[in-house]
Amino acid sequence: MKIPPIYPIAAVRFPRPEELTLKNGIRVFGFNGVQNEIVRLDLVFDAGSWTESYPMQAEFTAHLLKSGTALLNSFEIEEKIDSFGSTVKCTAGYNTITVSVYCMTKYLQQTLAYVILSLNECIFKESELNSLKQRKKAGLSVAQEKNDYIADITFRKLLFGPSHPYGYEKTQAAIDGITSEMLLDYYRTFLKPDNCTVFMAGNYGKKEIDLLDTFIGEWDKPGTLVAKPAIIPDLPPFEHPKVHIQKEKSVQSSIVMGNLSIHRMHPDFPAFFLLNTIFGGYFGSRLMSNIREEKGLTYGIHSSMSLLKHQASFHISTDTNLENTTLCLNEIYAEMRRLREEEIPEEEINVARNYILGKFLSRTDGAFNQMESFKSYFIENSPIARFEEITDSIRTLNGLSLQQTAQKYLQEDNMYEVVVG
Amino acid sequence: MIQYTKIPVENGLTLIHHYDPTTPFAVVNTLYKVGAKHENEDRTGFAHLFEHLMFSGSKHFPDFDTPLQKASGENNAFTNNDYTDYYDSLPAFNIEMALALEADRMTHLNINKKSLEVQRKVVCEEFKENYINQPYGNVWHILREMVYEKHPYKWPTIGKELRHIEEATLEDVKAFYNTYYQPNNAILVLAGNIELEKAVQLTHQYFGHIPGKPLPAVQLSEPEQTSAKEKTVYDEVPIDMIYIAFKMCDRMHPDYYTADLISDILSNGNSSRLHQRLVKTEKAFTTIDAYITGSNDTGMFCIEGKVADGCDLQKATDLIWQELELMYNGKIEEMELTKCKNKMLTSNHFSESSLLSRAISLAYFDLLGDIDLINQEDKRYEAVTAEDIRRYARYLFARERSNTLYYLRKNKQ
Repeated sequence: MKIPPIYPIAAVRFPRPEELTLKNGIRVFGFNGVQNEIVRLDLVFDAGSWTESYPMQAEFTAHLLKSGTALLNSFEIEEKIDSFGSTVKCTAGYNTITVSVYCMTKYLQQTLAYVILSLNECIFKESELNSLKQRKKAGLSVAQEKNDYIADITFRKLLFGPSHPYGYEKTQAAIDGITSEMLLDYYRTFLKPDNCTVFMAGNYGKKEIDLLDTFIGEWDKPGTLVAKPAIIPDLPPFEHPKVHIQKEKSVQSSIVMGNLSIHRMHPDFPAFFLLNTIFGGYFGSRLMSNIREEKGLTYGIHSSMSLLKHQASFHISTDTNLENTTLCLNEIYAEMRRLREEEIPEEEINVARNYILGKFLSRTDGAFNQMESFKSYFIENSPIARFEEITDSIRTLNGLSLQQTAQKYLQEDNMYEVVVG
Repeated sequence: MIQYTKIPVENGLTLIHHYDPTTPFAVVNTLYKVGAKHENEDRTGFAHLFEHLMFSGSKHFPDFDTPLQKASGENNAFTNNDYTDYYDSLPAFNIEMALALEADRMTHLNINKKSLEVQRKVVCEEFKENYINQPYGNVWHILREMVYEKHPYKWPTIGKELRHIEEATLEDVKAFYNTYYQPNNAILVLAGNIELEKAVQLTHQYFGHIPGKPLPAVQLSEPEQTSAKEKTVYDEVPIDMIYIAFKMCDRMHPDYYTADLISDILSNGNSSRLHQRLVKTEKAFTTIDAYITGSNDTGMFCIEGKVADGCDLQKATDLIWQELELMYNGKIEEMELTKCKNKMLTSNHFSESSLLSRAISLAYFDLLGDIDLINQEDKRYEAVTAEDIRRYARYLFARERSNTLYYLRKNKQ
């Protein structure tokens, strides 16, 4: 067999969205170009855990958004939305609340009507809140049985501190303490037109743009409140970085390690991104090759960066057989050391680089992917031009600069380490 | 509407081409018509273990992933009870690399002691991570065994027990490869920014020389169930769960669509019956779902619910039955049917927007035996009437065909 040649990807450029401002000042970023007559619309609010005055306030507000107004109950609202075949998902993140609409283009208008209604007139009925509390508590008690869940939350508490919006643990008691007033207050403060940005993708035309101007552009919410500045606790000092939690009857242990890290706009970001890919960011990474493919210690091991708006972090996670835990930890540290001490061969860099360029190209492929990537840049406050800067610098990075990056960011002594099992 | 061309190759390989010039990518999807249902009952988990071994490298490529990643590509695979699917997605100008890799591992896979040893361990860790070290992790082992008497669907893809994987030998694995990994047992989909002529030419170039081989005949059947089954297990779980499962028709049966819509009326979306009545009104469950497995042969229709604290198990069970009986005794509102059909349509349209999902679907529908069904499904769902729902629900939800599993907290024992 003749081995086929491989061609590199030429420059990756990110298509810029169509941008408009509605009558009430809401900005819309649109990506057109999908064959089927469908459209996705995300209303993103600057909110989330970061803006809470009580734990899970954002999550409960989001999940109860369609729970009914004085005139329509939750069933009536949900049934209407379902009858158009549409899905409206309300989710809360660390820095956002997002209302995502998935619908056939022809039902955009009807669906939006119920979205705006819910954004303006939700009454957070006691019975709906209680029903959600029951569901959340049941879901939480299942999650609390899982080693990987415990490891993740323990890690975040270490990293950010137990009362930090990125680090707090959800508890049954905190769920019990949530009241309708808290949610209503939060709803009035954060879910309002001057706190909203719209991202749109799919198959739409002038008619749909006009619809946005009518339904979202004329959205006016009476009785809104002004947010008080969030009081965010300082990040904890780096001490007692190793936590091992014994859990009876485990056959495997969950490992999470990592530390606070750099943001996308940081000058070292492209190098650290490429380094992370080589370390544990894809199937061909050193962690996967050594710990899974060579030693068979795990089903999967990954390292990644989490780029939250106000603080980035870096983490490695895996599950391994109990008796192999120490071996696995040692191997992870050994791989860090190798990256600090030995220059990565050019061929290995090239494979990771090409892989990343393929990934980046796929982010520009099709309106839905474009919208997703653009939105995450927007939320973390990075201009989309940074996408191209990162792509370009990944092309030129060499072994020496990656080794220096490893010496800076992959130090065993700076890592938190959590083991549950 | 998904356009495609189906071209048989002389050695029995099926080529399906789907052209999309709007993307810079191409997808190479290879489906092998072998899954957990082709395994021997005391040697289960093989199809899936074998999927892992397919990444061990082949004659011309010591490692599968590296050349593909170097070609800016990404790949993965999955195994279920019916088939095993391998997919590669990469820039269209590098498609030849994916074809060379796939053709090479179809004929010259490098199976050796070392790779078997490592992948056996990896799969055992996967088994533990997902089926042992997880609350309710073994529920499908129990349910399948209850529901199926004869059909190999009675074990899950991961395997019946850890031991079967630990004991897999090099000979077993080689025999499996030689039997099932043949061009005449495969469907190759080339999709994306590649023209038809080029797709045909490259397929002949890379796969044309691989000889086909006769395949073992498989005869699978499953008897009707005639009496209700019930089982209770106690484990370290935080919440009591109830599962009720029924055998249902196969994937190609016209009532497949009816069954799917029944599950949607019961539980798709927050306005669905089970959520509204049993979660919100009765407060008997904190969550409850109805779904179908969608297997090629005799499928499963399942209801699973997390019982709310303080709700009596018998009461919770009775409430489920009351809803199941209403599906044939009560009225199906026109609105309920319309909304489920609309939701189905929207969700199909969204998944069609992904090239990878189109490629995998084309292979899947060809495996079912009627590739054109890929463009007929919307109409099939549309044609289902309230009368169909009542008729099929009456058959489906007969007490004597039910399998009830109580998965309960240990301290309750």
